[in-house]
Amino acid sequence: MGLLKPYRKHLLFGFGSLLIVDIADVLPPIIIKTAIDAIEKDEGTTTLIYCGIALILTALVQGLFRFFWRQFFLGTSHKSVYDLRKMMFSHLLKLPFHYFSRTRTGDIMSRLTNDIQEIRFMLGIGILVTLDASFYFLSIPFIMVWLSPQLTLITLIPLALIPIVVLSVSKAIHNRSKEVQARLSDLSARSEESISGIRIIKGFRTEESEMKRFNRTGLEFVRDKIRLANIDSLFHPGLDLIIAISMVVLLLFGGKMVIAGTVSLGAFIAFEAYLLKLSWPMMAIGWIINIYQRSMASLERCLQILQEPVAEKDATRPYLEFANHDLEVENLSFAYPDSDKPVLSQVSFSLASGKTLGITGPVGCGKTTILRLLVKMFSPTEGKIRIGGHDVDELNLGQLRSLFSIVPQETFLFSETIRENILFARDQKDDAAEALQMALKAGLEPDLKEFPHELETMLGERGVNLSGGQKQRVSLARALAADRPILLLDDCTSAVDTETEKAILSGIRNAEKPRTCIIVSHRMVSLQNADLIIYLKDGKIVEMGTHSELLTIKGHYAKTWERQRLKDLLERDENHA
Amino acid sequence: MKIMHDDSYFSPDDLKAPHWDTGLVRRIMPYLARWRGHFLLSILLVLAGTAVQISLPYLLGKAVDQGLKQNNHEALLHYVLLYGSGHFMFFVLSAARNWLLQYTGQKVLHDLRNSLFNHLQKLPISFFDHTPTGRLVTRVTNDVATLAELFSAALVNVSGQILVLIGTAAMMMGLHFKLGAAALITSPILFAAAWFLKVRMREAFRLARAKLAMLNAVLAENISGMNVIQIYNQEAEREKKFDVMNTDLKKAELDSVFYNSFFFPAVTIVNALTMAIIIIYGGWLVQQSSISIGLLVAFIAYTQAFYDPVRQISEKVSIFQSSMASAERVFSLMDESPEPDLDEGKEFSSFEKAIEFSNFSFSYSPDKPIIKNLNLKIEKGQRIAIVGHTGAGKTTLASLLKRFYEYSQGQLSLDSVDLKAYSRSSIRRKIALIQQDVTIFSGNIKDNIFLEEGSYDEDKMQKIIAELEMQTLLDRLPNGLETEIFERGSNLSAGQRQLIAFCRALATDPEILILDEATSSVDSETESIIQRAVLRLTSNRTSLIIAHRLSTIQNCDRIIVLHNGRLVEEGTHEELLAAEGHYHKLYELQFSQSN
Repeated sequence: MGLLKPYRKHLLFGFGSLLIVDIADVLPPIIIKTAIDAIEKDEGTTTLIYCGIALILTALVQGLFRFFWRQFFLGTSHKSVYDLRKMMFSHLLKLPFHYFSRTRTGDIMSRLTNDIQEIRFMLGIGILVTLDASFYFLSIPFIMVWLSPQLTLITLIPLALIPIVVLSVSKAIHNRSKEVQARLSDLSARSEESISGIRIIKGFRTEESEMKRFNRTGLEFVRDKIRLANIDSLFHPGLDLIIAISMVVLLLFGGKMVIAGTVSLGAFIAFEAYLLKLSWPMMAIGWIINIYQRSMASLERCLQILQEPVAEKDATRPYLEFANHDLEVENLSFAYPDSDKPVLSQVSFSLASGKTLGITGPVGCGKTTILRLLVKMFSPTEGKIRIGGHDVDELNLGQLRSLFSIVPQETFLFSETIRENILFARDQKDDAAEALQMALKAGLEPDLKEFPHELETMLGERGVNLSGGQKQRVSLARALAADRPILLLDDCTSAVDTETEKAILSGIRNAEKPRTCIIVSHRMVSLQNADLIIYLKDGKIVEMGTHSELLTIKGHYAKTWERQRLKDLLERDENHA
Repeated sequence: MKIMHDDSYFSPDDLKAPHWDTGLVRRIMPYLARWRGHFLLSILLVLAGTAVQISLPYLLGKAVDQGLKQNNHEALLHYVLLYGSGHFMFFVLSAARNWLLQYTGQKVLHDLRNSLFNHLQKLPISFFDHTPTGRLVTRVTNDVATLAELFSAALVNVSGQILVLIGTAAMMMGLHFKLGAAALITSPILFAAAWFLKVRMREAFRLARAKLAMLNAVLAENISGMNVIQIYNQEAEREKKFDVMNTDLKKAELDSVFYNSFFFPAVTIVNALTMAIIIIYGGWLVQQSSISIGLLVAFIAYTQAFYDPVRQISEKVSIFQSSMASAERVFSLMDESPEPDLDEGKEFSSFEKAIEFSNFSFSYSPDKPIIKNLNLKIEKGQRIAIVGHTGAGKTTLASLLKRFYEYSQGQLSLDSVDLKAYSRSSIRRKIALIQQDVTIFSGNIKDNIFLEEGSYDEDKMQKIIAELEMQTLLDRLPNGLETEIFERGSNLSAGQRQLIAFCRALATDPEILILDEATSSVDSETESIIQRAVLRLTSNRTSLIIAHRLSTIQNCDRIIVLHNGRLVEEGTHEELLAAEGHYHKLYELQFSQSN
């Protein structure tokens, strides 16, 4: 509950307001009692007028402080949740890559949305109701005892049933609601299947079967929903009935006491009012217990995220000087956590600043893993990586990352403008001229006129959808704009045609300031001009050399090269036919 | 997670303020009419409950006057018993009303959902081409449910609460006109305050909800793109951006709390005002002996009960509004025109001679022709391959033969009769299309082969297994044909899924087979299984194969080469090779690649 600490003052004010509100709320029955007793005794109208004024005054006080009370408690809950959300997000930003690879986005999101909502409920309404109910419990029974001890005893007995009923029934309701939820997801799964498979359904003319199936799933939903209604519809009327039993007891015994003269009529009426007032905190007990349990579970789920160890990015290691960015990789081996299957074994190579390395090989040979190890998304199980002579393990993680631009295989763009996406890694995000230059380098020129507002076009939501190739090129422009010494391209031009790709790559190669570049690709033409090419198979380097060297070996590389050359020929032929 | 359209976290529809629309209400009526008996009964229950509810304070007053004031124990007992049984009746009536409303609401919902779903099943394929599945699922599930709430919660409950208000007011006026009028004098303030504040509360609430949805969308995006953020060292930047939205949300929430905080105080003050009037004026009346003390007690009780219906009504108004928005979405979907009657037309039962395209052209949109002036004859028993580059119009031809799209230019005839003269049902049943990405439904293998419910036929199944030589493959599955398939067929290999698609086609005894071969590469074992299956599948059947595999192409009687929607070459494998044209190049490449 450290979340509430910064708002202690607010809560204290809230608590003060609550006290005033509750006192003002407990008074009216006594005022009414005074008025009725005055009427009974035939006292003048002045007492009545005083009582009327007192009623209005208590209401004004109550109204005023009720306003503060909600402001303080509910307002604080929103502020605390704002803090919590901020804390969690900034913690998430620091978590290492493997946390995100083993945790589903949906799971994190549910903690950030549903669980936070539960916690807010507890911090706001939950605390408010708890305090409110406690006050009623600590005051009303005493007033009732003051009015009549015997009546208090007999009327409170049935009222005590309320928390028991609330607790047991709400459990049953909860269980049946869960079933209803499950049926509901069946229903949406069924309709999703029928809609996405519509071509098959129509193709085989089985629409009627599909309708029958959907109807059945729907009936199951209705059945469970009615099962829920069976208890649900009894719940509130049942609570009303318990209160009514109390009232009947009061009328019967209290009435006899009024007749006997042991209790005044005014006290009797006040007693009735208190009984009604007490029924609400009785109901609240069950509700509070429920919400408390749920919010504790939610709090724990949020804490789990906050307790995840962060990557050592914010370590206080100093930034080092680099004379060059020569890359040395020595006996690199790696297996993903929770798996003993090695993905890379004994990979060694070196690459001088400004040179280009090509990596190729069949699917799953470990190409992408090499790049991931370079930027330290994972740490190698064995081996060393040196950049400019420095062991990367000794570098500040922030500095290490600032050496690389990466264009990942799966393009991820943000739903912002294309310009903002391109200048993502820049401090200045409004330099339109710079963004345009990078877009041109990435071969986006012909696409620009397709975007409704050129570089200012918003991506996502209702904006345009980029084609796969366009997304890849925006992602590439982002990497170029980042302007880092080493550029990593992870099979990022698969959806770009060969001609465009060629132009892009030669643009990068012939830049005034040649960059170290590692290109992972299935497409051999992308690699042929590289200074060094690695053919990877099952995590091992099987062939290494320049394009012409590898062709002369006549190994895996040469075979793949020949196959692709022919395929390209065909495609070109088809395009020009 | 997709970044672009994340309907689950944010829908721009949240921002729209809906309006009452009589036209929509009229369209809902038929669904209610089916359950009018139930509705009538629930209205009766509401009426009876209201009557009992407003008689209770009166009975309380009577108990005071006749029992307490007269020192009459018997009268006290009498009225207390009446009062108690009144409460019990109220319990029974409201429980019954609640149940009946939920029951009827669910029945209406079920009808509505079914008719929307059934309508969807009748819409043409072109509709699904441009409508995302997720949106349709939301219509069928959420929107229909919101719409149905209009009946159960809102319609009956609100009218019930209005009745309670009117009944209470009438009761007070009837018991003592002047005191009643005095008590009701404040109610316009109550209504005005409730209305004024509720409108603002709703607006503030909607704004806060929209902001929350936007924030969640941004959160989801940032989590999915976390590696990009970290690699480019953009954590601080992202944190700042997020904080702006988070602060925005906080402000909107605090605004919402602000308006909310006015509501209860306002009600408390108005209520106290009324109570003061009753005590001063009513007390004076008692002292003048114009009314009894019991009546005053009853009036106090009526006043205490007056506020609850006002609160409930103002809460239900928002349900009306969201139901209207949902109704609009649901009925606009119902307005989409369905395909014509599928059973109308000549029955196509057996294929005798030929399919013939003559001067046939087709396009999905006017400016992009897909098929241009095609002349093509496919005779019974032939195995035809269609080859060509992506976008050449191959798959479109298949869809046209299934009558998935309307066409208008040129002729397409089946056994010398216009294809349009046949019923779509018979065409779709007898021309089987096997697509390259296999759709798998939930259920077991059998259900996925015999899609029509109850059409499973053991003999036919065995024949198919024998014909496609798939016994060994079945043996590998834990429960053979009864094996339950996981979501999207994830426990099946690509080859197994393909075989299911073949079986599915054979299960309908097709006259003509269209096969859209998969382009994606599979491992060599699967490749050979599929190759054998295709050969067996298409021998002795008129078949049209959109071919990618050399082996398939070579085994075909005739090869059609399509390019940019035109037929550029046609002939047997040998003829086309000899012609040294487009096909020749294609073949050379394929050949060299496989070596």
